[in-house]
Amino acid sequence: MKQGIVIKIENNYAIVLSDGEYLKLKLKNGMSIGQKILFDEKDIHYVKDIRRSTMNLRRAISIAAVFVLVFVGSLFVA
Amino acid sequence: MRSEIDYRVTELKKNIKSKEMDGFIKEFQPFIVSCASDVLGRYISMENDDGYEIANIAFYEAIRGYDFDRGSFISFAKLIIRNNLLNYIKTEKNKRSIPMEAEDLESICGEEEPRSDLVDEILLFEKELLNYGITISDLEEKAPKHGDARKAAKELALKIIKDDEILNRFLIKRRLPVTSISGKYKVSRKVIYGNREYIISIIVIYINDLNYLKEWL
Repeated sequence: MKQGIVIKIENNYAIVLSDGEYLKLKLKNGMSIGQKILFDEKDIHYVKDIRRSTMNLRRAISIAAVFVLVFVGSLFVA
Repeated sequence: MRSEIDYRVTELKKNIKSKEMDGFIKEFQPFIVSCASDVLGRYISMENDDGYEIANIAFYEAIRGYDFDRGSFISFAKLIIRNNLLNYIKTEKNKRSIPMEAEDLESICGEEEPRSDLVDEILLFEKELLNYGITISDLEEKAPKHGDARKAAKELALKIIKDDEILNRFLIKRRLPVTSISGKYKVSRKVIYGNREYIISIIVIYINDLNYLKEWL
């Protein structure tokens, strides 16, 4: 459980300052700027991690594609 | 297989006013907060939150009313918290539907709070940051993710605040003099540049004396 103060409310998320960290939280009812709230790990939006994981997925797919191309190419040569 | 918690609660029940009891309730605050937040569909406020109070009382009630033979304490506590909160929501709704006397209405309207100092401070923070081309969303995206990195950045920011020469250059140019800072405080330019938004946010909080926000750094 963490504590934070709401410093910004956007259309689909809110930002809190919590122990020196700026965190993006899911919006819930009745939030207001300056509200001091208790929240959970599960309320935090981890946008960056998703971006990073799709990057890794892309990298893996492109490497696999290269292998497939080399394999298909070698079939033609043979 | 019974959970260790079930045995602990059974033990606690024998001595309701013990230190262990307080410790147990403290230990389960995250559980209580998360139950209450789920039922109420909102975040729990740290100050004057009736829902939070009710959830805490319900948890205490759950300990007192727990029967080991009837199953897990956690599900029992969840149920009690949920029921008590739903009751509370219901009574609040009823209260509101009773037509109000003119007097009450006046007192409620009159109570419209002036914007608090805290809110003013946060709005000022946002405005000041914009002078340096930083939004609050930037801070969320670009601030260091690791606690140690944040701590180092904060320490550096505090040094800059005390360093008149560097602070003045920062205030005039509205940019951190990265090279000078790097030379003087032996921090790599990359680190300063990478954490500039975070460092600037701390400088802004300190030079504007945003005392409420300081508490959250």
